[in-house]
Amino acid sequence: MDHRKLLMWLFLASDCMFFGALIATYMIYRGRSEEMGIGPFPHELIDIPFTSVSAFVLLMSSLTMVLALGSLQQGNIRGSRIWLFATALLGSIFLGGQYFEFTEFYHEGLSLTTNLYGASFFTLTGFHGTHVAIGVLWLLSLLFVSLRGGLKKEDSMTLEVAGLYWHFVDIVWIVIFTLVYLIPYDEVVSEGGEEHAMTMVEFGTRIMTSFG
Amino acid sequence: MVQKTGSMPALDEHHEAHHPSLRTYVNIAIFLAIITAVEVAIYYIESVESILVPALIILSAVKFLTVVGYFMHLKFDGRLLSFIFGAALIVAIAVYIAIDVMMDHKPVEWFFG
Repeated sequence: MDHRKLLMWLFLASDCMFFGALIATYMIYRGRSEEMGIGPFPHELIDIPFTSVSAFVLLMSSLTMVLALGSLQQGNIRGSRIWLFATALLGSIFLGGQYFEFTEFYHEGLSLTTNLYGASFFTLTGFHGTHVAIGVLWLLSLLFVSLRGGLKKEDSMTLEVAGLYWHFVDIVWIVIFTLVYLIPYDEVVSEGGEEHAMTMVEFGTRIMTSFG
Repeated sequence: MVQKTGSMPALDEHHEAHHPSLRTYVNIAIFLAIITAVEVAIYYIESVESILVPALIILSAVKFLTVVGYFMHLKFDGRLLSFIFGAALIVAIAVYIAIDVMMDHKPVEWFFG
């Protein structure tokens, strides 16, 4: 086993726990903004058809990624370049969609500091978007290397490691798409949320006060 | 560009032995697209409202495992990699359930009733 591949899987394992913590935080605070009466609320903002297209685009980028790798492993350099470019393009389209969504939400009055929904939503999807952006830059740099003749059949492990990262970004979105977008928000009314949320606000206020 | 790196031959017995064909990858992508379409469709169907949450979670789990198993080749690679990623996944889920229970919240109840 190539050490780079092992190291990438170890990184993905740590990243899995990182996103696990972010998703857990989002789920714990789901529905709390409604209880506190501080809008805007998710059901007023989320556009399922638009996000479904974004999810489909990212899913198909995983296909183009394996086609790029498969082409390189078969010695088809031109094919690997085309599919690599297609993957970076689909990733960029996804990022454009996320930028549009963030802008729309902001214009509707939701920011990182508006309520618990805004804080947990932007943190979770923002970190995912950052991962996608890093992936796009990685793929474009590999495309640049390939165009200069530096990515040949015997270098396929280089592309495979990048592919592992890209597919991981895709599977994180599979989870986010279901938990953040598709599960209806009326299913998640928690008990005692207002008291807990107010305690958190008081706790935050005390910390801010202690720092002057 | 080529970097000669160390390797562990003992763990390499399954590597690149059973990679799917490009046609298989296309079929898997069609399968994933269909599942995504089903997820979005049942979101709008009122008659399945009672089973919507478990259905969505199962469908997304199928997509997750398909991408990990086939596109990330975990199904065809050594068990060490499956152990590494599986252990991290279990820890992530366990932490979520633990926090969920401590916060007396509902998401665990959606699924288990």
